[in-house]
Amino acid sequence: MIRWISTGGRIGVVLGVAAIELGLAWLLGLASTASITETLSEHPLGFAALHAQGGRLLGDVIALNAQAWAPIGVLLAVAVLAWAVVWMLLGGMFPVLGSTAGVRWHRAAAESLRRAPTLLGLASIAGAGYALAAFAGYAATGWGARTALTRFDVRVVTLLGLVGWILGGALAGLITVWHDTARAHAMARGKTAMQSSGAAALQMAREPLSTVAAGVGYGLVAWSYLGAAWAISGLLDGKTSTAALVTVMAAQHLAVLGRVHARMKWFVWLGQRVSLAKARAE
Amino acid sequence: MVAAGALLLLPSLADAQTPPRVADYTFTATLDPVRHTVRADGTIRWTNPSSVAVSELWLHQYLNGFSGPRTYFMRTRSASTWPAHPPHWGRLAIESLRTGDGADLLPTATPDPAVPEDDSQLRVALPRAVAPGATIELAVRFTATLPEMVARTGYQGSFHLVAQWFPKVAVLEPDGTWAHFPFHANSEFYSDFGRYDIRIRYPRGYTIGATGPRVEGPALVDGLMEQRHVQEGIHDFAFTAWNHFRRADRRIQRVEVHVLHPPGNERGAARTLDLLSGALPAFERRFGPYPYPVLTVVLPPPGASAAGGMEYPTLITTGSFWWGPRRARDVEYVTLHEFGHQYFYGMVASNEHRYPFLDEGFCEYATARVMEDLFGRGGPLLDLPMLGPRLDAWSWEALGSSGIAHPLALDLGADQFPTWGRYGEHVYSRAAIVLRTMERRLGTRLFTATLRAYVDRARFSHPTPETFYAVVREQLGPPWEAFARTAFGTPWRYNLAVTGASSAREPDGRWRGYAVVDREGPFDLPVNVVFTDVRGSRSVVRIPNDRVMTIVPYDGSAALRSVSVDPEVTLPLEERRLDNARMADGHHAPTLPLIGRVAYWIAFALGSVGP
Ligand SMILES: [Zn+2]
Repeated sequence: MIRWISTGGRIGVVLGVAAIELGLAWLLGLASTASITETLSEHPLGFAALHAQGGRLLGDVIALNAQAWAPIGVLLAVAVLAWAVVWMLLGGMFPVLGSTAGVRWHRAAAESLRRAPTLLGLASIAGAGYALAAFAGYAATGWGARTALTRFDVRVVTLLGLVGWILGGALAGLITVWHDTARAHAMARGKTAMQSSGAAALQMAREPLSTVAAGVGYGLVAWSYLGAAWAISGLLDGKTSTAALVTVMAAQHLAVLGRVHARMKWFVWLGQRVSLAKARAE
Repeated sequence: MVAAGALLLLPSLADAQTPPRVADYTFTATLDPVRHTVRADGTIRWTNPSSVAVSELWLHQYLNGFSGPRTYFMRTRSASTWPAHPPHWGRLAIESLRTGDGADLLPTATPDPAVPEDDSQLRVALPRAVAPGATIELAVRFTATLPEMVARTGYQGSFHLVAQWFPKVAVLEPDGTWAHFPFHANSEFYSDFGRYDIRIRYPRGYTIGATGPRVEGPALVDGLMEQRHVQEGIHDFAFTAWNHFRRADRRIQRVEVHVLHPPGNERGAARTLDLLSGALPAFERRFGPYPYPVLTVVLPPPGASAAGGMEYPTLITTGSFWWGPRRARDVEYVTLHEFGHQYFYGMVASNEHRYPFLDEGFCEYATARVMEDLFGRGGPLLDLPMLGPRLDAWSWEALGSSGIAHPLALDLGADQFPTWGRYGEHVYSRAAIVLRTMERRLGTRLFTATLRAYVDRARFSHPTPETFYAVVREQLGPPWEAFARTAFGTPWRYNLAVTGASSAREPDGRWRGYAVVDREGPFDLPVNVVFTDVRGSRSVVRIPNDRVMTIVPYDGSAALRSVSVDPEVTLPLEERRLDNARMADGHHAPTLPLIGRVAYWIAFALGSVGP
């Protein structure tokens, strides 16, 4: 039984992380749409112009802001990269909160920063793994596409062409589960990067179903929030009534909150497994 | 929905003119799908359609455009369109060319000396002049070696699209000049009407799709399969062969429609047949009868998509993803476009090299017009709920035209456009949007009747822009003729914009102000200016739009919120539509929801690398 509610720092952390993520996203959103919103605020339809006249006005907006797209892309890439670095350093925070009941968030953050070298080591291994997954996916897709051309059924051709994406995606998912498990081992049991890497791999090998299935399960929960928000905003796309706008905004913000929450719960679950293993080992 | 119910322009056989028989071709052609060659022999029977006796004959050997890296076609290609060279070059080699009485014409036949290193043309000196109306018969034997798939011609594996495979007589214009030209990478073709009687021989196991109805076979003759296709009133002949084709058939009105498709794409075939079930009647209602008994649609196999999107008489090639969502109508769009060419190219056989806008532009207009007939307002091209704003066919054309940075006249030859991109934006998009503008100004019914009059006049002949201008003058009067001449015959930019809008409360309690409407470009057609006040009530003022700037006064009971010019989009040829409406000074429209959406996707990206 996970004592979720009673665990002091966790709710605050979920709210805090979601708030920071959304706040940063809003700042970047404001910056990256500045030139477009300036154009659109002059048009009587405002943002709804993007949906009007069968894409004619959207095409004009794209053409008129042609100069802006490259700087916006750079800004967003830099921001996402910086955010990734921050969470490489703070990557141990959730596992600490997950594995240590009642710990305060600042203690968790401090502990995470203290173990930053280990976390960076794990992140590097995971990064290499993702690169490998991408390469394997690329290679498999190339192989599939070449093989496909000697087949004639177009459904087979499509599937063979996609084989790399499917394999690469699955591999990336496994790497994420492994990375999270290794971080939990590092933080809960004070292991080095190499030790926790091995421990995580061992755990996944010993308990493949529970570890991998739980990771996938929490991942699916997180994605389902995002999917629901996407569906709601898609259904209400182009609607300009206040109710529609409020609904979309609420759904999107709740989805981000839900995603952070699901991820937190996964670490709580992982932390408990690792603590149990530690207790058994002792 | 079909909006054309009121038109009642029902097809009747009475208005189908008899096609002329200028160039008849009777060949027996043997396909070797291993060597990728077609060996053929037979006769070309040509009747002088001009008023002048001629003592030479010009043949086009378009396949020789793909015979090496230095041909005119390869030298004029844009890097972005066709590959620098196919892995396997093609060739059309005439082995024998004799008159009916046996005179050998080959020794004195020469490529056009004006175009070095290119033999896509052949000038054949005749032993005797051919008088106007007189006929000459030539016995010919040749081998076409197909290139690996390039520019919708050639082979990919065992799939063959056999096009431009025979020597084709150029068009002799009424004044006795030959409309011959080297095969240019931007350009398509031009040839004369006649009767094609083609016997195709091929190995067992292959499925053939070809121009015209099959009148004999397939039957096994001397170890090869043989089938014969005969069709009059056409000016080209193409066929396809593949040993993995599946086939779906449907009779649509009087027409046998065959779809040849790769295995697994039954869905694409059904979608094509469903589309044509609506499109064929829609085209007939607007542009007159489709006079042929067959139509074959080829969906090329995977890896041969370069074969897709081409028109030949009664045979078109398209493309389709078996998984493509129904409301992503790119397949429909391409199919309608290629079918539209049965009108604008097939029957209305303008010179595709000299006036490409007459086939591509008119065809593109017809495509979007029928998209709207079949799929509703705007002709939705991409209409995927949840996946962003919808894109209409008309918007697609308008945006293609509005992207033109350096305008050229639309009536230039294909070889006068410096790149394929600039060729496309002018002869496809801009020409289509000019016609759409005429439709919006005149009403769909009147404009359709005008276009129908043009098709009726030009059917089975070689119209020029003058043919169209004459019909416009007769049907719509000199001002519209002047419009058409300016729009098609001169380079232009055109834009309307509201550049200022303001109001202030006056002592009598009323709000007075103005809107400034700027016009750039040549067309002074009146338009509406609509004022909307802060309470949402609207007032409309018609302005003559005959000067570069018009100041339109506002007088209302509430403050002015916004102004728009031509909100009904009667001038879709405008460069920008976004500046046609503007908030009055001191007023701003909401943009927060857009920022919110963008912020969500950024949060999504941050989340995928963050906690
Ligand atoms: Zn075309």
